[in-house]
Amino acid sequence: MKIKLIAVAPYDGWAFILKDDHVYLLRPPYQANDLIESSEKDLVFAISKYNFQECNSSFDNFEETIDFLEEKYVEAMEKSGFSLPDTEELKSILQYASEEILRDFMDKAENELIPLRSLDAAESIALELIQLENVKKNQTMFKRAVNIIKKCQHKRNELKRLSKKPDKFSKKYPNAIKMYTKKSIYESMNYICSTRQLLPVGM
Amino acid sequence: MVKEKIDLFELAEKNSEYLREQYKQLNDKCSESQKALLNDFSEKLLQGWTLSVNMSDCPLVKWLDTGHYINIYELKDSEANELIDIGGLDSSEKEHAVERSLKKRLKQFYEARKTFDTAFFNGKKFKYTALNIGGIGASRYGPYCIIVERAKTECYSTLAFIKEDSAINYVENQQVMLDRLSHDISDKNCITLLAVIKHKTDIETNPIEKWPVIICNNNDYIEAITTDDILSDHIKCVQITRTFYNSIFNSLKRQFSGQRVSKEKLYRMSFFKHIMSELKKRGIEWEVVNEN
Repeated sequence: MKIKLIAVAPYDGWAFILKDDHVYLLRPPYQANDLIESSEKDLVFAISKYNFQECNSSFDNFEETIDFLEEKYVEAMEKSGFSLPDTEELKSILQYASEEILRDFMDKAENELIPLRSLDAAESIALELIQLENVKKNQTMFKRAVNIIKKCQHKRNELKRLSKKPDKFSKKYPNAIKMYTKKSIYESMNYICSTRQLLPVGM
Repeated sequence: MVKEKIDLFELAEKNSEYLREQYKQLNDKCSESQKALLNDFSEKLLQGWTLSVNMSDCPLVKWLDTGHYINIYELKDSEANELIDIGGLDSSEKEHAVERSLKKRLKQFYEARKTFDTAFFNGKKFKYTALNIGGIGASRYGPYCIIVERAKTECYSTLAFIKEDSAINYVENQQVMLDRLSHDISDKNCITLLAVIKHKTDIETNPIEKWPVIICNNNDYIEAITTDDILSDHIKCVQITRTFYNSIFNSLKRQFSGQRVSKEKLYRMSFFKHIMSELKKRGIEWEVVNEN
């Protein structure tokens, strides 16, 4: 599958590509919906109105094409003097999140990050959320965010408590204790318990 | 021989009589119910028309930061000035450099754009926007749809509307098709007539909620041209496509989880943050909208 780039808007990351004799517009965030069947007329329109430049590069697949576009976009930004942002500061964009997005973040913290023991990440989301006006105003959301922080603290205490019980553990798993810390063994045990079976059944 | 330049806005004004006549003929052939429908459409357009521009993050950041919406000539001119400032270009070569840069960018499509723009007075000052009555416009080419405040557009000294895209539909063999253009153009007073003439069938076959999408979408729109400054203060609101908006927060989620976020995504988030804080500072409304 050869993909030919016909036109690129480096400052935008948009591109027109030719694949199987069809013209498509490929645009960020480069997901399935972002590949749009287009025509020569669309191409003319885009080149005359938007910041597109003609281009003549070929790629073997979409991954390579997207990598190229992302690279060109970053180059264009650097050329324009835009520096990479402080990643901590970016967290403040949560203030522009819709209620649906905020709930989605809470789900992520509660249902994914905490079970995976990514407690710092879960807590960081909740701490950011409870500072938001939209969350402060919404009692249900605020309580849920506080609850996430409490859950993180509880899980941390639990891990500490477990890691302070070395006696039986060292005797039971003498080889494991030589290679790994007790904390990481407990984490792995908990993770395996909560997510999958250790060995396949029925074989 | 120097060709005499045409005043696009005078051309628009002169077409008023023709548009009124066309509208009358069209209306005369309509049944009472069709007339009522066209009347509703005219009323909606009269009350709600304004201008919109779709763009991506980087040009919008520039617009908000500089205060001005600039066209391709002004963009290339400012890039050349920057080069002169840093000693990378001699000022005597500026015009050629701008021309070279435009040719490089627009290549085979350069001629159509250039033919159209150079045929008119102040053509290189033309700023291209689209007529909008509430939709998210040509979102395919830019997830941010900037809606200009109607009251500001009323004060523009120049404003002309063309039935279709100017470079695609009104240039042939390096010439502006004046006969066609002169009947497909209107000033702001006759914009409802031009829109009704263009969309009569669409109005009848689509529900009212679809009218904004009919007026301006990815494939079709009524082009609006002005030479006036479209300042950032003129922005009434910014619509953002839901897909793009969600993608920003998906990247943020990855970042919170400690997963790798590409530089490209970091820039997007940074621009989003900058745009949103500028909108907030200026009291400009924003909303997230599903794409057409």
